[in-house]
Amino acid sequence: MTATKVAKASEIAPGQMRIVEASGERIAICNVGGTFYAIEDLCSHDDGPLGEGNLKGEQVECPRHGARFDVKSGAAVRMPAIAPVRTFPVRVEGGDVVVEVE
Amino acid sequence: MPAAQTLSELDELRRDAWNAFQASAAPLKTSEFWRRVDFARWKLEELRPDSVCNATTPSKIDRGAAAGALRQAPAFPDAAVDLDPALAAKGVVFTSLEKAFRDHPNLVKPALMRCAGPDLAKLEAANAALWKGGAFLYVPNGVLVEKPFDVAFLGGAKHSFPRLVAVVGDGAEATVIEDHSEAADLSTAFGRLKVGRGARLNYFYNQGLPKTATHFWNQRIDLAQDAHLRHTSILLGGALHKSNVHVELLGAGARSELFGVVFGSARQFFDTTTWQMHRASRSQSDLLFKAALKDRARSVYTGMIRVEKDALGCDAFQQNNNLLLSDTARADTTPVLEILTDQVRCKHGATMGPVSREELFYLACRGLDPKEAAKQLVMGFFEPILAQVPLERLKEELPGRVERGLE
Repeated sequence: MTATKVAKASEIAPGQMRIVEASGERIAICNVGGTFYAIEDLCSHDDGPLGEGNLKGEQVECPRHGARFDVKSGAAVRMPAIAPVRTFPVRVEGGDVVVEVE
Repeated sequence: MPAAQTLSELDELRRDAWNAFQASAAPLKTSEFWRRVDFARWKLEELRPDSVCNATTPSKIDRGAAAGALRQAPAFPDAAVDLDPALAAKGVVFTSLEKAFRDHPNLVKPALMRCAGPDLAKLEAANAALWKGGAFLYVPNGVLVEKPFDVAFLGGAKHSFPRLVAVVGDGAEATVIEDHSEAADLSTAFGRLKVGRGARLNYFYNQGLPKTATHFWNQRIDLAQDAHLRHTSILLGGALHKSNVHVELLGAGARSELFGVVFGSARQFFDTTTWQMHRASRSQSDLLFKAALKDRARSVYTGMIRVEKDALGCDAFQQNNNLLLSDTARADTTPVLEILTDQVRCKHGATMGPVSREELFYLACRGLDPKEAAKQLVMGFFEPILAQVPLERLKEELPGRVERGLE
């Protein structure tokens, strides 16, 4: 596990996402009502950039075909995606968002 | 034309290409071709007109059982070549592209024209500006060469821009192996193959780079009337491999067979695109791409078949098979068919999945432990293609490489 500071918590407003890179992975940091989640920025259906989509509550919607994923678990919750995406442990440390990647 | 004057013409072409390289924008991420691969991985922004430094080309090589052997370092104007003197006497030319430009401008110049579309324009301009040395093969009309021509591009610099041009004359026959196992860490290869009327070319591309390398390969192939191409890509190396093989079936009755094998492990990423462009009647094309992927390796295959409106009685086939050896390996396949005529036979298919449980069970019944059985099945998946390689040094090495990768 490598922990990486990827952003200031204050830079990502609730309901917003930001794409960051940590240990060679593209990750979308999602702020859901003040709690941060981190998921792979890669739709399991067709490689769409999830971080460029919309955050709808606890779900992220892929901008390409509208597949949705639960940001907490990575589970695919709407077609056309059926496979989950990866999620990463994330925490806020002294105002910084820190994500852990294997 | 005096040699010095022709050389300056090549420098002029390079200068034009460098200007085009600087003036062109990087392709957009939204383009389908670059959607899954980050163009920035080739680090083109750090290039300067002189940034491909000299590396050593071996002073002498031995062709062994081959018809000829050629070794080319990144920035060396002359390649190390050993060509069978009997073939040289028949008019076969096998030398660096730079030397061929001086001696045979009529054959070489048309092959240096930049013709790639917007997705490839920047990489093509970079290669056109910075290639040095290169490799060139010409087999005159009617000359049949049974033994292979063994071409290898070497490393020794951070960036390299290999370029191979092969012209097979009417009714001639040749076998070419282009090896990129020792190329630079960041390499951008461009190639042109031209197969004349009724000619045959048996071609192999071997990419066995270290798993840190980033490799791009673009090849354009023109087939004249009744020409026959047999083309095999063996892709085992690199962290990131992206390739674009474009076959133009320009003459009636031309025939193209494309084969490809990919074996990926760890986080290797292979993004391959092929084009089977039927521009003339009764042309035939066949394609079989096979990938086996373990760990988090990925393969993305995109295959276009286009048949023109006035290309009648064509036959086109495309098949992509993927073996997934772990839950985290992934294969994507996108067949694209554009058929503008109605007198045509065209098929495509794709499969992906794990090693067959039934086959595993059968082998286990024969006393093989499951791991060994899986290994045998993967080797069997590749065997038909690897067994075709006509060069001893690769024939032994390639199956071993796959086998080691499976352990």
